[in-house]
Amino acid sequence: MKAFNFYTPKTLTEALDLLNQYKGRATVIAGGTDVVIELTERQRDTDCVININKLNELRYCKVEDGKVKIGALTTFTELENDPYIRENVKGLHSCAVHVGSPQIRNLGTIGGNVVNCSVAGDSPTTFMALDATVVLQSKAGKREMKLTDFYANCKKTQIADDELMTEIYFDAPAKGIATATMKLGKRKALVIVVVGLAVLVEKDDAGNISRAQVVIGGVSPKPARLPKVEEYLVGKPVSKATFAPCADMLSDAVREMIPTRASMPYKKEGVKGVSDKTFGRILADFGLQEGGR
Amino acid sequence: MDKIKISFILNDKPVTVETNPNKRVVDLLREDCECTSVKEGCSEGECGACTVLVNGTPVTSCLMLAGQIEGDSILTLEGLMKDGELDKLQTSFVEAGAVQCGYCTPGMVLSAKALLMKNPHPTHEEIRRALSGNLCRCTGYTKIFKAVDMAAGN
Repeated sequence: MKAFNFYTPKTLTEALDLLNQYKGRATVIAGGTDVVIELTERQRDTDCVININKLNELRYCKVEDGKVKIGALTTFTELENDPYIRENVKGLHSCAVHVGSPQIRNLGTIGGNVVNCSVAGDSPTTFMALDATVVLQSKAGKREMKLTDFYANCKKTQIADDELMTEIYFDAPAKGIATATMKLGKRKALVIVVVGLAVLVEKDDAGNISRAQVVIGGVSPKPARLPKVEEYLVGKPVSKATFAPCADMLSDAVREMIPTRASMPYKKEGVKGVSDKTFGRILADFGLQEGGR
Repeated sequence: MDKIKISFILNDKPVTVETNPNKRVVDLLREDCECTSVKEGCSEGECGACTVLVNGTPVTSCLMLAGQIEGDSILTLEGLMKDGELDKLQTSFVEAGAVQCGYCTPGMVLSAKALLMKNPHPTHEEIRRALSGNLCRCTGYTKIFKAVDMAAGN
């Protein structure tokens, strides 16, 4: 590991001051599960490391003004154990449960996972299906951005050198909303996403789909919304028959997104099973049919 | 590079170490604190050999920088023995024959310890999940699970 100075700010203000001072030459570390490997393997050169892991003010998961607000330092374990998330945002709960290993879930933070935005990351796909918004703070002030914009038109994310992501929030799912997430990996534990799918479905009183948010991960560099699938679903009844054709639609989407990638033949088949299981879970969340694992 | 001073609790004893900040916790424990039970395996959080407990929670110490454990309480295998007596888990690992080459053992024992501290009577499935971040390349899993079952009184 190359040499660097190390700071552990005690307050958010102190952290933002340091970021401002070192503009672009600092590395922020929260859980460290991605950053420490980059430092060890010398893929990352930095003048200083700012350890924000002691900023306990950024460690929370709460429902406020109809929004679910999650502090950037919340770990996957904390998210997994949150009773509200477990009951009401099943897609996010399932996402947290399947990240890495117990050790990784104890270290890894939501903020780190969203900002680092690995191609094979777990939570960005799910948060995008929830149409989440990130809160970015710098010495100059605070700004908010939809996750879709945060990941748009750039190599990584829209975060500036002097900014820290402090929170991610989304509308608390109302009655009539079901969420589900599923990832295809090579085994159960310690796997990165080969194909990930996250879905939010809202149904009206007549039992028809009034809103659908479908996001695929692990295929393109960033998670992607699939408008074709979403448009197909809206207006149709919530049923197994409605969801069945999604498998082929997703398979086509994978083929269009990565026509030349060596993993395409595998992913386009794999995504069919992922589709059936994810939508099976949506049915289960609506109390209509069993969902399976 | 400025040296940093790190104060933390190591196996129930307060310690202060002055070291370079570009060290990981696994290096700090092995090189500065002589806790060589902490094994480095894959160096990327996959194998769990370097597992230690930070405030009772298992983490892979190859993924943490030394300075991150300031003020925390760290438990390594060295701290498990009390008054010359092996911990119940250590005894059950011996009795079940759950040790082959031994490299994964410290991490396995600590992941199991964290589980039993929170949940003294886990189910077999809970044990498997708690140890899912620890790899044994001798593939001695059956006896390892049996050892934890024994310690849990199953």
